[in-house]
Amino acid sequence: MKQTAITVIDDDMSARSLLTSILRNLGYTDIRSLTDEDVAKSSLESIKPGIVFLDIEMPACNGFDLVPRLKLLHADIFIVMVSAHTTMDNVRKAMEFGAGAFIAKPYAIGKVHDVIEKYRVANAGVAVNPGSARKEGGFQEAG
Amino acid sequence: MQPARITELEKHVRELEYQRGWFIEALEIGAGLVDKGASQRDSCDPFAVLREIGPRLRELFGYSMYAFLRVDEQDHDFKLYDSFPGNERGTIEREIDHQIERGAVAWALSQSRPVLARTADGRYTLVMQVIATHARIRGLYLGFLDRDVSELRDALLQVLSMIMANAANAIENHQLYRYIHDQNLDLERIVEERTRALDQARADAEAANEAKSRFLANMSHEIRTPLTSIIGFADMLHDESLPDARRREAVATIFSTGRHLLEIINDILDLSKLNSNRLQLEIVRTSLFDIVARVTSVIEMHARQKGLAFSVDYRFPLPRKIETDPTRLAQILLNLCSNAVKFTEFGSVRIEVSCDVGISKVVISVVDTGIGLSQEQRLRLFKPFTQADASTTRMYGGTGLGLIISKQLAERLGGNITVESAPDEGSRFTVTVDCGSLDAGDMVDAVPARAESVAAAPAGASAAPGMRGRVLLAEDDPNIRRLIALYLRDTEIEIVEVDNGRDAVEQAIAGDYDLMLTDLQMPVMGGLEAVEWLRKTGFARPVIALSASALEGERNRCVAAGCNDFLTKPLDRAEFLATLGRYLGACGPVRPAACGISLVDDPVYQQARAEFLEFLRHTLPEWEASDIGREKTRAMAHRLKGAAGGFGWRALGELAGKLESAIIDGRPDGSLRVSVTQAIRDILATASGDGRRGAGQ
Repeated sequence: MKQTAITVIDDDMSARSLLTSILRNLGYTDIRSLTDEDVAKSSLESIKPGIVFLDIEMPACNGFDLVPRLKLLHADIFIVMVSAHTTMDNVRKAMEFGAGAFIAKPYAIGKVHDVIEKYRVANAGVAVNPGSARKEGGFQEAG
Repeated sequence: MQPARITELEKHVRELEYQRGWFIEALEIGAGLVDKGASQRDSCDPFAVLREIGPRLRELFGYSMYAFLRVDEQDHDFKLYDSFPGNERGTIEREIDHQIERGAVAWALSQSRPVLARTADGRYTLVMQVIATHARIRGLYLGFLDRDVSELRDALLQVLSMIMANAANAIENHQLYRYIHDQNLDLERIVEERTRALDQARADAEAANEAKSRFLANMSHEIRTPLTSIIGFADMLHDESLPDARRREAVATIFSTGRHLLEIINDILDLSKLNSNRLQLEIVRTSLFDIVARVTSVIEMHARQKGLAFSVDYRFPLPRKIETDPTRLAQILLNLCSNAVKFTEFGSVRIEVSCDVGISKVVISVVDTGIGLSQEQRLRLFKPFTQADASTTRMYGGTGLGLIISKQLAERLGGNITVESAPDEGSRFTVTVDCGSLDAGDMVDAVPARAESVAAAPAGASAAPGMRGRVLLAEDDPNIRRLIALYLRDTEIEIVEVDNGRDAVEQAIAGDYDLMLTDLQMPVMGGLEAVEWLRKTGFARPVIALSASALEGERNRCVAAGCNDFLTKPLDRAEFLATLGRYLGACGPVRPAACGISLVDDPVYQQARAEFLEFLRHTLPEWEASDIGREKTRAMAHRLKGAAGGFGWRALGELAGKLESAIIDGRPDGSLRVSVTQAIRDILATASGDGRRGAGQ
């Protein structure tokens, strides 16, 4: 289950590192981190099917522009749009472009978990009532 | 001039005059036919014109005998319609048969001009002329001449053709006229029928409208009365000098009157659903004893409190299970029983349960020793808003709708409610309902053990006061927002409020909430649309819908949109807290086990955090610079907003977010910039002493 390939595309190095750290702690090991420069100048072919966390606002390229290219590459790819700009316009646009989920920066571990869960459910083809996936286990606020 | 010549001329003139007279008569016959159609319209027989022209033609042409054949509309056969003389009818028929055999009739029918033939006995010359329009053949005229054929000149024969053509047209006109006339009559009859139906419908609609207006007027009164006391007592509370005891009394009145108002509104909804046939029954196989036990568990207490004896009298054998809607049957019984308790001051209330196996019906009577009802009161009993007398309403309370609802429910459940009562002699209300097919094996002679335990079941779970968590509340009514804040005052729940669906979506994604409460009807975007969007984005936290609509299917609509739960307004405090408690337990919100992870010790995280601190240190001079331009400031703020919170500096992230929106909206940003700069300085100062801070909210 934790073998899912995950790609992180973000211009902000600290954001990339933080997400990578969260993903590793959630048990994922196949994680690849790319900058906007990386995807702007080279082809996307090296990106594996699975999950892509994709920032919207990046200097070298716009996240929305990458969505169709990624979908062309792997039809079933699950794109999680990421933005510190959680406006309704961005949400609507992301979903209309065919993103599978949308989360805000700064990252909350619970939410990263939730969107991966959505991918898992969609791929397993099992209907799970959102919110009912809650189990025991306290959540610690750190900081 | 010679006398012989004169005589000859005179003879010639007479002859010409005779001819002129002849043609005038012929023309009159022909022209008359054109009018005939009109004059004979009231007659039912279109061929009647033929009877009229027959004798005149005989005179004109000097026929010894004549006959009209007409085409029968039903079998298209030729029938003898009229003939002269009456006593020669047999002769004429034989002659016609003869001519038919010879083929002369067929020939005559195919020609527009008269066809001449010799009769079988050689005595007469037969003149046959078809009676036809362009469209169809109507009949055949046969004239019997006892003179020589040569006497009939072409002109005369042509006149005959013309007259018969006119006759055919007259027949056709008459038929068309009759047809139109009949159609008109039909139309008039239909219009009359429709008008009658319309009048009836209008009268019905007016009656219904009047009933509705009366109902509304009553309703308005029923709703205004408790509202008056609610507003009045609430107003009293403004008075600071009011003693505590009076204050408590006012609050208690507001509460109980508010409850009563809710009861009225629920009853009205039930009634309107029943009236418009929108009430859905849920017929299931259920325990009769459980239903009765459920009702008695509530009523017994009320009865005891009033000092009344209360008992249930089962008349065995009774079916263990019946097929009915248990909720609605219980509603009926609860209504009958609470009425019985309400209107009884001394004595007892008794429930009798029996079953009529023959007609598959359960019969339950509620018998009391109360004030009873006069005959007149009994008649008014099942009409809206007519509690026996207005003063009893004040004395006993109640909406006066319960019995009507119960009666209609009983009817929907395949039965009825009847009442036997007399003033001061108590009342017996008997409800019968269908119970589905029964067989001997289903019958029992004692109450099954399980049913008793239902009556003793606890009323409901109590609220959990120690709830914790972050709740996003989307509600446009500030009063409801205040009320919810008040309900949650004793918990450790943190509430963030938004007043429309769009802000709810943005806030739910941006923030980190354990639960979302949402109203359904809000400006900008409704609650359900917001939930749908959120679920699309992968938002997985529980959502509870708050709806003021009591429409059937509302709950399903909410669940379909992605809500986990559903509460109706007005919110019942205990139910509200219990529902929240299911998602935010006393030990805080229940979350996926994965969320317990702390990143603090993760080397990647530590490195990222160190790099971020380095980035802050690096950009501090730019923040401190007097002017770096708004766009650059915005870009820097955006970066901080996205990253700072992730490393545990949520305040900095939020400040940066505010700064970014201020710049985008063109609002003054000076003080925010100063705050962000100061926050960075603080972080850098603290970080140089303490290397470890948390993350992962």
